[in-house]
Amino acid sequence: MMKRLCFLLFVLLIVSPIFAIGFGYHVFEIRTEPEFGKGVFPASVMYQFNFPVPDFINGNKTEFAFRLDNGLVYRTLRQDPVTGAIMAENPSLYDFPKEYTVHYDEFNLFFAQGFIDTAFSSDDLLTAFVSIDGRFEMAFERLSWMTDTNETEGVFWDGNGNYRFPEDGLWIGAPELSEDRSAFQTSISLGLKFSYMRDTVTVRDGIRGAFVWRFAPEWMILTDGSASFVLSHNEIQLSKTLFSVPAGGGRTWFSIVLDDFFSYRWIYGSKVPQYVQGGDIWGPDVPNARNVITNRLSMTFYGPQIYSMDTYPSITFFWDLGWAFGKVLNTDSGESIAESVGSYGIRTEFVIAGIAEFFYEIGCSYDPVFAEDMFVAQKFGFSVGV
Amino acid sequence: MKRIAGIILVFLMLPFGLYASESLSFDAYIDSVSGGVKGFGLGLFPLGTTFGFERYYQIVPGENRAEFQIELSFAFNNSSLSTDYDYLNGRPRWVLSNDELGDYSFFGGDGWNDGGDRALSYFNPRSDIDIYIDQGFWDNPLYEKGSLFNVRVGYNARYAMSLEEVTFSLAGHGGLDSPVFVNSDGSRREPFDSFLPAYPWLSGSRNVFTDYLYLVLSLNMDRDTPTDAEAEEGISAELRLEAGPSWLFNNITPEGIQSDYCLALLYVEEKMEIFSIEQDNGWTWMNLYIGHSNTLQYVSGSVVPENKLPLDRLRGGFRDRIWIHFTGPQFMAGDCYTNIELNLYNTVMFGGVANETDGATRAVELQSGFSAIFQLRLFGFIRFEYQIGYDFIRGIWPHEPQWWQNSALQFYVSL
Repeated sequence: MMKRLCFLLFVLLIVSPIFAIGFGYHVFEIRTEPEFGKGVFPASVMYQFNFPVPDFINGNKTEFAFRLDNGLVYRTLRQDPVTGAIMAENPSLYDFPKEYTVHYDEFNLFFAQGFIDTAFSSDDLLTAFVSIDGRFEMAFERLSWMTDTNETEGVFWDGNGNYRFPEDGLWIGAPELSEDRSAFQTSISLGLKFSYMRDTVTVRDGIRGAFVWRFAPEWMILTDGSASFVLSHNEIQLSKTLFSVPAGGGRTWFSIVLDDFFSYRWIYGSKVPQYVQGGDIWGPDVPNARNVITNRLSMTFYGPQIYSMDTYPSITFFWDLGWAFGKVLNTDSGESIAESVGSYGIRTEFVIAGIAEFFYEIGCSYDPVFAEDMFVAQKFGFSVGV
Repeated sequence: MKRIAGIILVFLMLPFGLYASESLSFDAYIDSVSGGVKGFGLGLFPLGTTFGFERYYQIVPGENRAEFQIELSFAFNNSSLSTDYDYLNGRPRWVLSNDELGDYSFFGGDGWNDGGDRALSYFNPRSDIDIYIDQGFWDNPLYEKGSLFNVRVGYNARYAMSLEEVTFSLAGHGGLDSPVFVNSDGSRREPFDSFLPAYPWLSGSRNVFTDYLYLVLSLNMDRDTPTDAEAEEGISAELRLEAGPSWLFNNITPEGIQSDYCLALLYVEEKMEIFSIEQDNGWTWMNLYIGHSNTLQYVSGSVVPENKLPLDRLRGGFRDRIWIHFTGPQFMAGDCYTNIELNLYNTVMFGGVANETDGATRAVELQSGFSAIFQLRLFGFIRFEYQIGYDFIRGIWPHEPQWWQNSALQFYVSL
């Protein structure tokens, strides 16, 4: 492992000198976790350093950058680590807390070239990109585990202090959690993005999307072999401003925006780590099958942008749908499924200067996965984030 | 937590009152990415990041623009329990005779390993939010973009947890025989089942929130440099006052007051360039400067939080530092260079012992040491560092003068 990482370092040294000084940088996303500082304090962040390269095509953006995403996140175990069976199919067999914590560092060294200037947006109409990716992860029990007499049961340990799963060997259902629960995986990604969207936060009109392929074969250089997959992730967003009242300076007093966000994910492989799995919708999990489709239809009512573009209240009504079909991943059984999930809800938020927000959301999972009961959940919080 | 969110909101809303008519879009910055730690990805992967958002506003006509900044950071690495202070009354080990030691309670002491080999290290995830506004006055004579005098007012909030090491959740408990804080049934293990006045952050649930307000006054007659490859020169002074009283939400955890302290710190620094030779493109061939600084600080209060404890817990401190800084040629890129720094430290600590319940101990201590640091910096994110030092006097510590050394290869960012 050390030799591999030293080699990686050497590669970075080789490619860096030409571009090395004068980073530009962006913070893309800050995340919080409810069990860490009540969700107020940051737990992970994704950011990027841009190497100063000239635009290869005049008027279109050329980007060479190093992106880093690190911190701590919560995950939910969804498949039996030994058999790969989807736990939600037989919830009574898996009646224990399924959340666990992951330390992670992901880096992407990527190059992107834009084509065709849209004039009204900083994004080019088309952008092609390729990246070299690496990710280190280490998983452990949730932060509240073993902090109280009511918190002795974890996902890996039962309440009597016994380890739930075999200590050695590959966990088919969760390959990245095998052995010492740490993994270092590398991959190559390439993709194409398109954007024909006018977006001024409270007013959006147009379409944008991305088609991304990620290759992480077991023989990939530097990887520890805990991943083996090919991913195709495709997403399209359509937006239409139904109504707006301008306030001058590009801001609005009030606006109504209709959005539809569609994604399709296809994965082939024998070892699919959880960070590339499934589709995210509010509430229920979308099972880990070869084909996953999600769609969110939402209507957002924006209040006045107060003093600035990025300080405003909003209320969003959303309807989420998910479908999983085809072979269940990370299992030897060859089982195929065709499952749908769905939820709807409301989210209100007050965003302050684009870096903090108060929010309240309530939703109903009216079509949970398999035979699980429908449920209603709500959350109120304050978080610092982008 | 709602009240904490409230005070953060109040600080966030400051720019609205200051300069309401322009966009509040902030510039993001990455301040630093921590080095790795042993046990996580061979120590090569960072476990913490400090980043933030800033914006400048014209508040005082004719003066430099004020800086509004919110800085966020998190770190997820291990810490160690100190074995040097009685956890029940804060009495330091070094004031006790060998006969008296048996009557006091120290982590790692008698009975510590009952029930299995019990570690002293623990997992210490933590995060900070720091918000301030900084207004400069008059021009710095050595740096045209800087101010001669700055006033900064800020607020800092911290959340920290003290948990079992992450390896404890591995199969076979990762080789650890026994948890530090809890029994196998999740109940709190002695002595963490009762309040620990000398270590309030380790009491009860060990989920701790602390915060403080601060004021910084600084005088700047020095040259600002984009990297430390350039020679530094000039004089600067800074007075920092902090207050983390109990009423400032430092009593909201069920375990009681987690902070009730005040801190005053005065720092004065003088640097002089000896020589500097530049390459044709403006990069450094080599340069040398010497520096001298003094730090005077005092911490008062009944509960000093973990991150504000002074050296050896003695409330007062005075440090004198003299250093010589040599930088070798910048090569390949402006942020590739080496430097060597020689330091001589003399530190006097004095006064009472922080977090000692009866405040009975008074002491004066001298520490004196030398260190040499060699750094190779590459491309703004790789640093190899080798340090060697010699401790002439270690004050209260019963050690002979000794050499020490360490080295590290780290991925980092310092912009």
